[in-house]
Amino acid sequence: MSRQTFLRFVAPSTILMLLLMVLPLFTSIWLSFHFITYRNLHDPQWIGLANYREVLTDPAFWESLRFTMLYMVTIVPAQIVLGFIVAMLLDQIEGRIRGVYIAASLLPFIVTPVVGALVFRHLFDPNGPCTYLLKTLFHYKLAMNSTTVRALIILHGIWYTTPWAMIVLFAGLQTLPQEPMEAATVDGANWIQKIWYVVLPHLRSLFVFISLISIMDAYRVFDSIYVLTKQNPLYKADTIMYYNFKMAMSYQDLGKANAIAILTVIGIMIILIPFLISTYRQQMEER
Amino acid sequence: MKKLFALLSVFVVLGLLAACAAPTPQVVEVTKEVEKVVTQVVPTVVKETVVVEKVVTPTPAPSGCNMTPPDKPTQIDMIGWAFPITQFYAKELEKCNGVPNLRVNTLLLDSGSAKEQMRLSLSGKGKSPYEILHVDDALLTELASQGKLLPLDDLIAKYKAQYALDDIDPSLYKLATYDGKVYGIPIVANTMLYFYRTDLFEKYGLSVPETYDDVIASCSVLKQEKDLELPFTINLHAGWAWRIEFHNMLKAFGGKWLNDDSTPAFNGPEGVKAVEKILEIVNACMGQEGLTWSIDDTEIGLETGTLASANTWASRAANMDNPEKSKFVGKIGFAPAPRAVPGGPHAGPAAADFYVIPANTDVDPDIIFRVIMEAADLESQTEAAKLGMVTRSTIAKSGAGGRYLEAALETIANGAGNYGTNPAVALARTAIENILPKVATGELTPQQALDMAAEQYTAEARKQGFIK
Repeated sequence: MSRQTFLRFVAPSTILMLLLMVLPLFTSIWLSFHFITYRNLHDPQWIGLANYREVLTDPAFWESLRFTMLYMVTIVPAQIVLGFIVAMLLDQIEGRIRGVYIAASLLPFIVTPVVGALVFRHLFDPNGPCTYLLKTLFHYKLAMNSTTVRALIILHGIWYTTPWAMIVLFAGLQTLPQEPMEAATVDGANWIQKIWYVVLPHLRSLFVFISLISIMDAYRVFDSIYVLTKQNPLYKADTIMYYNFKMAMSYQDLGKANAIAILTVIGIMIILIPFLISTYRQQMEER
Repeated sequence: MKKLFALLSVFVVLGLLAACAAPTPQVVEVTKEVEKVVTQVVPTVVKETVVVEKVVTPTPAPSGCNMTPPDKPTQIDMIGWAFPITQFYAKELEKCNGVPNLRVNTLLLDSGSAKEQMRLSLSGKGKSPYEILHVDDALLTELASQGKLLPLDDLIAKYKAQYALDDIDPSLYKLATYDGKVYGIPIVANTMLYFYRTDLFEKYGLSVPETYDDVIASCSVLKQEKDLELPFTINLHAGWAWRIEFHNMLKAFGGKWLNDDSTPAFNGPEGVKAVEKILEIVNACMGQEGLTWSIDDTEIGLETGTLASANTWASRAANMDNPEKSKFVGKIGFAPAPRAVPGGPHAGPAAADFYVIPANTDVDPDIIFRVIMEAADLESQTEAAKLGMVTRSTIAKSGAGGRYLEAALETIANGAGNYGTNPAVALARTAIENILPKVATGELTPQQALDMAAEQYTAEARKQGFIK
């Protein structure tokens, strides 16, 4: 393929990416160096790194970062482990019932995120069915505090994201060749050994892929925080995205909100770089 | 292949079901301003959707749009946020599409998106893309202080007789006033009232509380009732809910949010008394469990008999007499919000939404005003009274607005009022929302919490130029 033909093929997507991703990113960087609200939208005031300084010295930012990290380090492994277990179980099922199980397992993923979070919240509201059951069956009064609300947010995150990991891994399992499994059986490998030495290596690239996407998703979690905390600071469950939202919508400090957004991008890149390097090396090895 | 087809069919059916179940955007948004928009959670949405369907059902109004046609083709675009009464008003505005040379478009979003759109569209240097904006009193103050709204005094004077504009409660015009000029036509109001179970009050020989000390005394009596989960509650389930209760109590103790130079005043002695009174109520009536009761929970508690009394939003009052929702129809009484001190203001806010006209419109304001009047006239508001608290006194006096209306109007007229006309108060409110709930766990004392909020507010207000 000539260079000119190659350029013609890639030009449309490159231009679109420049317009939709690179341009807004640079605009955001530019705005982050300004003091800008709705009142001076056309006359932003250059303040250099002041927004970054304010964000980085704000305890609320670090508190929200801490919870974001906690959310991420719990959700990502949990969804991979649970997704893998469910995918393995589904793989054992044969016949039409498998479709029904797959559809049922995917339900949390199909439901609109905010609706899912709202339903989840109502289960544990003072008049909700879970609260009622806990009270009736165990005489336990569920009290909403920072521990229970944070736990609910994480539980909701696992419930919501596991189906995605499950379906990806299930698809991966369908491509597993029978020969290595049969060879392992002949060699006397038990079920756990087959999983450890045959299945997991086969799915390795998918685990990296799921981790990559899940980390990004977990880092920018917003809907469930907004719904489940009911914006109550008492629960100490703000995430970076929610902190950003408050800065933009409540304080209308758009420059500072953009600074948070840029810091978020930098944060995601720092976390993802090891994964990206690993994926790149793997690709190179496969060539 | 058959398996794949069956699987795909299941996905398609589930996808369709999910799509059908998906809410419209306004379901999702939760504004922090007024309760009626704040807590649109699933059960409420379902209820409200039913009401909306009733409104949307093609029942043509008796008269339609009564205005004379403009001389040249005119397009009027309205933007606002959706709840039953504003959806009704939007339909009223759209009736003017039958007038020659006039086109009226309405756009109802969720409150957050609508406010963002309005701020963005008015921040431009060109003409406003909208001719009618639906705003609340906080946004009205914000936009009016920036010179982005058209004063309506002349138009109100011109059409006072034709549309009986004196009939709209003066306290509501006051909420639309900035720097001595009226910028909005009040279309819907809201406040908080004392709701109580009349049968329980009779059983225990309790009289309707006048002050919060009376409320606290009633709690110890009502705790004897076994079926109750709580004897009384105020709404403290969210940061914004704390801010509203703090506002009510601060003003009821005679305090204020800001000094004239925009420095904080809310952390003064009245502010501390306000927080201490809130904590006293929590300890005597609600407990830690009561801190999680949302406005929906409060309404359900009153309707199902697990709650004996509450100070909550007037917009919830109509459901108390709805046999489909309440087990205690006719047994819930309404009184003005209790006072913090005898003879002082009622600890209930005055909140209202308005139609306003942007200053940079290129459409004749006279035409816009007359279109607004189609929604705000007596005929329209009489119908709207079935959906919410309307603003015309005639309707309140006729009883068409519901049993609660008298107590609501008393609270609006002699209560905590709104947040004032200083646009910097929006920053103070946010600071209070972020910090004040921490007094509930003892993490901060009332004075510490208020001082911390004052510090946070001062830094932001100084940065934004409100404090020199």
